[in-house]
Amino acid sequence: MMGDRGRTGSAARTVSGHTIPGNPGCQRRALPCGARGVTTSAMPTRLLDPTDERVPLERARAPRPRELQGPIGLLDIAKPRGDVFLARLEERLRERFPSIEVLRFRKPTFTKPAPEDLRLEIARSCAAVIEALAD
Amino acid sequence: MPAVFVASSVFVDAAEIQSRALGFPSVARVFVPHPIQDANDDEMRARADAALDAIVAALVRDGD
Repeated sequence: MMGDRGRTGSAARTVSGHTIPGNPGCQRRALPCGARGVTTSAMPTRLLDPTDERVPLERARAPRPRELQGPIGLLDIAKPRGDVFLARLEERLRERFPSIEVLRFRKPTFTKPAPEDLRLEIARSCAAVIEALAD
Repeated sequence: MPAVFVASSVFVDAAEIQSRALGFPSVARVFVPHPIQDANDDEMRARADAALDAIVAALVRDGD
């Protein structure tokens, strides 16, 4: 990807179709044989596409009920301000669906997936889950 | 289990790409206006109020 487009710089130039940062004192040339990248006179640089080429197994959405069913879990992913959003959502859900129980959960940190025990607890105790709030 | 995630509007494209990469392109999602972290409590509550119908719709059959 980067090899095709190259990096841009204040003095970018194009060599054999590759746009590379300009540095008049640096010898660069395009790689032969389809290699994606550029080389310097001292050391070859290979720019690799980090995209995962595997095809994942496709999952379908869980079947939905005709009407909202509880208990409903509100999962706070622990990003700032999400607690205010979810508190209001809980308030509104309780007003609109007074017979439906609303349960609150919170991830220990937004930097990692929810721990397995938390996921199991939600799966055991809830009929639906609302996860918020990523920004 | 029916589930929906809520994110701010800057994640529209990222959610589309990630959901396909993870094999779950139909994952239910609702977006609220960005930014979040600069919003005060009243603005956050307003976002929740505005998103409620879409969130509920994403959890029932008619929301599919």
